Formats: sequence, structure tokens, C-alpha cells
Amino acid sequence: MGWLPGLIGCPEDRRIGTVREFGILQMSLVGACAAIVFVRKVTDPLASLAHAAQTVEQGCYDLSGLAAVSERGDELGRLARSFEQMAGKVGQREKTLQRQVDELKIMIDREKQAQDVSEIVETDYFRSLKEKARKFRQI
Amino acid sequence: MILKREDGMSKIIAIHSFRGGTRKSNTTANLACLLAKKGNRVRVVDTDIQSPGIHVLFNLDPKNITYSLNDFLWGKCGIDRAVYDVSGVFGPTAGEKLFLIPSSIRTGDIARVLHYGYDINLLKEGYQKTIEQLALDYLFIDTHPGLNEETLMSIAVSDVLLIILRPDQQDYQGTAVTVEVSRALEFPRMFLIVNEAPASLSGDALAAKVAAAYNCDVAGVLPHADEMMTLGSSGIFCLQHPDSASSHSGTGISPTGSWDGSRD
Repeated sequence: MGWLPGLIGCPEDRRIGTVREFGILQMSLVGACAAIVFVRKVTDPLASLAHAAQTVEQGCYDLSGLAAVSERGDELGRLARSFEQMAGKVGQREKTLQRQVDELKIMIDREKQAQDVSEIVETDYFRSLKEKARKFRQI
Repeated sequence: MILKREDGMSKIIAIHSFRGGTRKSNTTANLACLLAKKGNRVRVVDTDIQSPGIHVLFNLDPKNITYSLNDFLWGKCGIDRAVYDVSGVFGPTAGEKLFLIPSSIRTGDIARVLHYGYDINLLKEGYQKTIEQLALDYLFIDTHPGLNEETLMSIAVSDVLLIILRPDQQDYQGTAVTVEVSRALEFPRMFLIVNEAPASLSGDALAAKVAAAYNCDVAGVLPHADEMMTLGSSGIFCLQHPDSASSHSGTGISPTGSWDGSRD
């Protein structure tokens, strides 16, 4: 007990009490450290998952930042892997929808359009109608 | 909101499509109901004289139509005699008000208008009178599809033109002609609405594509809704399915192609 010089010369019961208090302090410190380690082991992956969810929400499906969590063998790792799979499927679906829109062709024969339009707008009836419409809008 | 005039005065909005079957009357009825529910004073005029039908959506029994738009255009009555209260669509205890000026469904009346036509000045006067009498916020004009003289006349007197098309090759060419002819009529505001879009397609991407093809703003993309098909014409979709995305989008049509029911 050389590392407890303050206890030398103390009455026996007081010495025992002080040792007990010191033990409690040590255990508390160890417990606090363990809690910090535990909390970080849980909260850090959860923060990564939350960040990944935000990334997906913004339309980005690259979840490489989640790799460290998805490599874990615990429940959080399983959750991360499920999330990656889900995001991958959503991203794929998004790409398919975009491709469908890209493939949608709006075919307009511009020559025929110009011809059809001129057949209407170059009539006296249309000119008169246009003039009337212009006056109506000034009312 | 695009439908609102900057000076706060009432607005005449024509809803048109080159082809039939674009759910033009349904869109007109839904927009009118949504704006009426927001406390606006709204009237709808059925200028689809050749094939009137919007009265069915508003549950107006033809037997109860004594005077119609046809009678007004022939000088048989004032425009106020051809107005019918269709507020019943909101339910028996609802406070909203909505009125319809129907076209006649009598074959003889339809044939007569087609044969003799009508005076655009009289039509404009009628619109003006009905707007002033009730200090209307919106007057919706349901038109006949195509680009015949009557249709051009009924849309020429409007402030805003909404042209409906489906994402269908059959609609593209005619819509292109309609857009250019309307442009020649110098519409202050003209927008496209894509109706019956496959639910699987991205609305924003489709809106951007259509806007680029026609060089015209797209007010919105309405997805196909099975509920609307099931409903047929037995009611107003936005009142029967108020939670539907399409219903919400109704009064918030924006030129960006997005839907936002809070915009007004």
C-alpha cells in the first residue's frame, strides 16, 4: 500500500473506509470510461446512418461513408447493410424512371406544324379575331 | 399563383386541348371546385357547344336547364338567366358556392349554333357581365377540343389559356399547332398541363421535357389516377379524394411543373 501513504497511521476502520471510497471512485471512473466507449460505439454508427439517410433524401445514393458501420457483425451492422440495399434499389428505380423519361420522344413534325398554323393564322377571320381579342384585353 | 391577375381583378381562364379525351372538363371542374373551396367566387361556362358535358360532373340534371348559353348567344335571355347553382357538389351543408352556365344538350340547339355561329362581342359582354354582377375572382371556360372558329372565339376572350395534353404521340402534333396558334392570338399567359401521365414517370422530368418541346411553361403534370377512372363522371375527383396528390396540386399549378396546394 506504498502508493497510499496518506493511509499510514490512520485508525483501522477509517483506513478501510477510505480504501472502500477509493475503490468506488476507481470503479466509477472505469464505469464512466466504459460508458463513453459504449456510447461512442453505438452513437457514432447511428450518426453515420442518420447522415446516410440525409444523403439519400437529397437524391444521392452513394453510401460509401457507411462502409465502416456495415462491416460490423452486430445489429447495427445488419441495419446498415439493409439500409445500403434499400438505397441501392431506390437509386436503381430512380435511374430507370429517368431513363423512361429520357426515352420518351415528343415527335413534332415542324414543317407540318408551320403549315397548319399558317393555314389558320393567315386567314381574314383569324386576323379579325386577333384584333378583337387585343381590344378585349385592353378593357 | 399563375391564375391570379396582378391587379387583383377577376380572371377568365380557358381550358383547352387539341384532342378529346384529355379530361379537360374534369380538370376544369376540379380547378373550379378547389378555388371555390379556398373562398374564391367562381363560375364555370361550358362553351363546348358541340358536345357539352361538364354539367354531368356538377350533377346538373338537363331537365332543370331552362335557359343555356345557347339561349344567351341567340339573344333569347340575359346571361344571368342561364346561371345554375351547382354548389350541391360540395355537400348539403357546405358553405362554398359554385355556379355553372351550361350549354344546351338539345340536338337542335347544338346544330343551330354550328350552322349560324355566334357573335364574339356578345360572348365577351356576357363574360364581363357575369364577372361584374358577382365580383367574380375566376371565370372558367370549358372549350370544345380542336381549333375550329367557335373554339378560337371562346378562348380568344380569355386572359389565361391552359392547354391540356396527354403524354401520347397522338396529342403532340396537334398540341404544337394549338400552342403556336394561341401564341399568334397573343395570350398574355399560356401554360401546358400534362394529364394522365404514367404514375411511374418523374413529374418534374416530364414537365421539363414537355416545356422544352413546346417552348411553353408547364403548369403541372397530373398523374394517372385509378380512382378518377373508377369515378367516371359521377363526381368531382378532388372532392371525392381530397387527400390525393392530384387534388392538392389543383390550385397550386405552378409554371415549374411542381405541385403546391398552398400557393394562391
